[in-house]
Amino acid sequence: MPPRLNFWSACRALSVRTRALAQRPQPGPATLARGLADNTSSRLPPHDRSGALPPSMLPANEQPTSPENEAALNQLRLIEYGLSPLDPAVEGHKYGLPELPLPTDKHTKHRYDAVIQQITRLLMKDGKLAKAQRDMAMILNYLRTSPPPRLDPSKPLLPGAPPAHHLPLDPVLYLGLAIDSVAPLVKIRGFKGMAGGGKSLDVPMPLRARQRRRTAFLWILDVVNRKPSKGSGRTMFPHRVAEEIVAVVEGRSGVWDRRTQVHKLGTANRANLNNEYVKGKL
Amino acid sequence: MPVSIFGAAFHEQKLVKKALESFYALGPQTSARILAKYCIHPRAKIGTLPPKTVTALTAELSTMTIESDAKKILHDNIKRLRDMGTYRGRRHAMNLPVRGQRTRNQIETARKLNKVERRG
Amino acid sequence: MSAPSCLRCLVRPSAGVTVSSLPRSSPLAVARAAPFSTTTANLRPKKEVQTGGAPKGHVRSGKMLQLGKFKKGKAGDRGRTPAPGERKAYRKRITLSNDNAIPVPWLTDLGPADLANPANTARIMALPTEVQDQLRASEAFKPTQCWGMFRKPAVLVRKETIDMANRMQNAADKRHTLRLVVSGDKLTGKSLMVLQAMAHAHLNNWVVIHIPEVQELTTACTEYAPIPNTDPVQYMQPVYVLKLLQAIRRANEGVLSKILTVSAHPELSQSMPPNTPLLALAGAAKEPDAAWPVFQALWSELTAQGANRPPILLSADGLAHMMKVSDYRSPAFDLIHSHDLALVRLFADALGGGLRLPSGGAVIAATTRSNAPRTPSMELALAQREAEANKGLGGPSSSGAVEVPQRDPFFRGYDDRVEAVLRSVQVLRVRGVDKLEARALMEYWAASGMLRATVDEKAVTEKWALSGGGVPGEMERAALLTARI
Repeated sequence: MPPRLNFWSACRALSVRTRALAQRPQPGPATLARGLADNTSSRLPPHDRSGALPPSMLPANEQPTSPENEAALNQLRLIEYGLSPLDPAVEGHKYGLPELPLPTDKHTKHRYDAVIQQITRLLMKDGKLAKAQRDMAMILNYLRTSPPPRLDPSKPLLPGAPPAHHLPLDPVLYLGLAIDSVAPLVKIRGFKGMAGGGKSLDVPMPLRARQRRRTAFLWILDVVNRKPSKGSGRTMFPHRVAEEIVAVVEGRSGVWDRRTQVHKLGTANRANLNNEYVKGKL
Repeated sequence: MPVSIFGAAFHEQKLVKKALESFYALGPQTSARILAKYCIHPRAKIGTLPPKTVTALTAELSTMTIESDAKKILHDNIKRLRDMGTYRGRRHAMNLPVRGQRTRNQIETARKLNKVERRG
Repeated sequence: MSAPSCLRCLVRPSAGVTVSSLPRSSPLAVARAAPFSTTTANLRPKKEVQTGGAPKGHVRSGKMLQLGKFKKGKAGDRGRTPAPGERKAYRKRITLSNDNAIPVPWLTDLGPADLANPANTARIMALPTEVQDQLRASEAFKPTQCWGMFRKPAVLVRKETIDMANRMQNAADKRHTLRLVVSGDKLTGKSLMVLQAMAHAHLNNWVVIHIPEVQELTTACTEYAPIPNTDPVQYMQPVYVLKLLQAIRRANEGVLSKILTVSAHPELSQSMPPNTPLLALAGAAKEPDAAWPVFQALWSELTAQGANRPPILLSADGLAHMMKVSDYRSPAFDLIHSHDLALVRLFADALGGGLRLPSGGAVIAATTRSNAPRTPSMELALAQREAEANKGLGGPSSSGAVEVPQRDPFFRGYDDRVEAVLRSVQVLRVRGVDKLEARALMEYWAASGMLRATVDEKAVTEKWALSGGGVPGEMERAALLTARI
C-alpha cells in the first residue's frame, strides 16, 4: 500500500508546518566525498556555511567555535552527507592498514610455523587438538630450557644450521632442524610380482618436504612410545618427545640408523627405476 | 613390612579403605563409617596407621559379621531353601538362575555362582 | 539336532552342557568318576593346578576373557620402575633458572621498599637469592608458572602490587592487621600477588606463614585427629602441621633465630626455658604427634603481647577450599566444617578479625579459578565487599548506581560461618595489566631472548588485545609460548 493512501499520513500532510523544511544537501559534495574515501589526506569536501547545514542546526548568532566543537560539527555534516563519521576509511587508522599481501602467519588457521602445524597434528590422538597444542608448547619449552646440544660430527645436521648454542633460543628452528635432518629423501615402494617369482620389486621414490617430515616424525614417535616414562601428569609425554628430539640433534637417536637403512636400500635399488613396467606406472 | 589386620596381612602401601573392603561382607558404606570412627582419612595407607589404631580396627572387625560368619548366613539361607524343597533351592542346586530369568543364553554368572555351598 | 527340551530335567541341552554331565546329585557323579580314576591320574591335574597358580602371573590368569586371535606381545623389560613418590617429585619439581636465557643487564634486585614505591610501577624486578630460597621453602612457586624460562626469577611490579604493599606497610606501621582477599579472573596473577606480598614481607623481616594449597587441608588427603578438651570438637592435622612447621623454619630462619621466647611451655614434651630462640621452638617437633602443640606454642609466642615481635604475614592460596564443608568425617560420620579444622580455623579467625596480631601484619588469601569448589557465600560476600568499597569511592552522588548484592532468598546453600569471616575483609580485585605494564613484560621477555619480535607499540597493543585486555597469563600464551599451553 503506498504511503499516500494511509489515513494518518494524509492527516499529517494537512497539518500546518510551523518551520521551514530542512534543505536537502546538494548531491554533488556527498558523491564527491564518497569518491574520495581512499584519499585520507583531504577528508571533507570543502563546504560553504551558507547552504550545507540546515538552518535548524546552526546557532542563532555566530559563536566563537572551539576545535572540539568544530570536529563535532564536521561529524554532523558527514552524517548529513550519508557518511559514517567513524568510518575508518574517512577517519584514518591508529596503527595504519596492514601491508598486503598479509604474512602467512597472520591467517587464523595458519598462525604457527608450517613444521609446528604439521607436527602438532601428528601428535594428536583421538582428535584432541588442544591437548596436542599444549604438548607442543611443552616440547618447545623443554627445548628452550635444556642445555645446548653437543653435536655429533658423524651425524651432520642440515647445511647452514646455526651453531648449537643458538638453538635453545629458537625452539621452533631447533625442532624443525632435528626433523628435517633425519628426514629420509626417498621411500621404497614395492611393485608387486615384478621381480619374478612373486617377489615385489623395490623402487625408490622421492618424497616431498611434507612427506619427509611426516616420515621422520613418525619414526621419532615410534621410539618415544617404546621409552619408559619418568614423570607423571601433563609433562610425561611431551618431555619424552623432547628428549628424543635432543637425542636426534646430538646424534644419539636410533632414528638416524633407520634413515641410513632406507637410503642404502634406495641406492641399491635405483636401477629398478629403469624397469619398463615401473616406468609405465610412474 | 606387612601389617596384619584381622588375621590378614596387607602391604604398607595399600589403602586402608581397600584393605577393609577386601573382607567379605564389608562394603564401601561400612568401610567409610569405620574410617570415620577411628579418624582415618580416606586416602590413608596401611603403613601410616599407628599400632594402636591397627589393633582397634582388628577389635572392631571381630565384632562384626564378616567373612565366615556372613558366608555362613548366606549358606544357611540357601540351605534352608534347599531343605524346604523350594523351587529357588532347586535352582540354586542346579547352578541355574533363581529369579525367573531366561536360560537360553547368558547365564554364566548363575553357572559360576549358584550352588548350595555358594562362594560369594 | 537334539530334542528342544529334555522333559526329565529342566535344562535345555546346549553345546556346553550334555545331559549326562548334569549334576543330578553329587554322590552319583562321584561314584561315576571313581572307577576310572587312579591315584596317579588324580595327582596329575592337581600338580598342574599348582604350577598354573604360581604367584608370578596375574591373579586371574587363565580366567581372563581373551578377545581376538592373537596373544598380546609381552611388554619388554622397561627397566627400573620409579620409586614411590619419584614421579610426583618429577611432576612438582620447580626450576627457577634457565641458563640458555640471556641475562638482562638492567634487571635490578628487589629492595625492602621497592614493592611499595610507586615509582617502580610497570618495572620488572628480580627476586634476590635469599628471598628465592625463602619462597621456595614455603612453596610459593608453582610448577605451572613460567619461572623456568628466564635467567633468574623476576616479577612485574603492578599498580595492584604497589597498592597491596602500601596497605601492608601501613598496617605494620600502625600495628593493625590488614585482612585482604585477592580475587580476580583466571590467569590474572592472583597467586603472584600473594608471592609478591610474601617477597615484600621477607624483605622487611616479617614472619611469613604460607599455606600453599588450601585444598591439601580440606579435601581429606592428610591425617586428622580430634583435639582433646575442645568444644565443639576441633581437629588437628598433625602431618600437615609438621610439614608447615618445617617450611616456616626454613623460610624464616633469620627472623626466628633473633626472637626469644617469653614463657616456658610446660605442655611440650621438650623443655623450653624462656629466652630460647623461636627457631629452636619451631624445630622441637620431630614427630607428627608433637606438631600441633608446638605450632600452638609458636603461634602464642609470635602473638605474645608487648614482646616486640615482628609483623606476621599469614597467606594462603585457594581460599574457596577454606570456605566450604570439608571432606573429612567426624566419628559420628558427619561432615566436618572446614572451620572446625584447627589450622584452618586459625587462619579464618585471623582473616575475619577475631584474632588480632598484636605487632601488626597481614592476612592475605587468594582465590583460585581452577579447581575451586563453588562457594556461594564466599562469592556473595566478596561481591558485597567490593560493591561497598566502590560505593565508598564513588561518593554520595554515585551511591545509587552501585548495588550491593543481596542473598537470594530462594537459595539454601549459604553458610553463615563463611559470611561471618568475610564480613569486614578488604577485597583486591586483580585485573589485566595496562599497556605500560604489558610493554614492560614484553620488553623483559624480548631481552631474555624468549620473545623473538620487536617490541613496539603495535606489537604490545596486539598482544594486549589478544589476551583479553592484558590478562598476564593469556599474554604469556599469546606471546611467550609458541603454541598455546
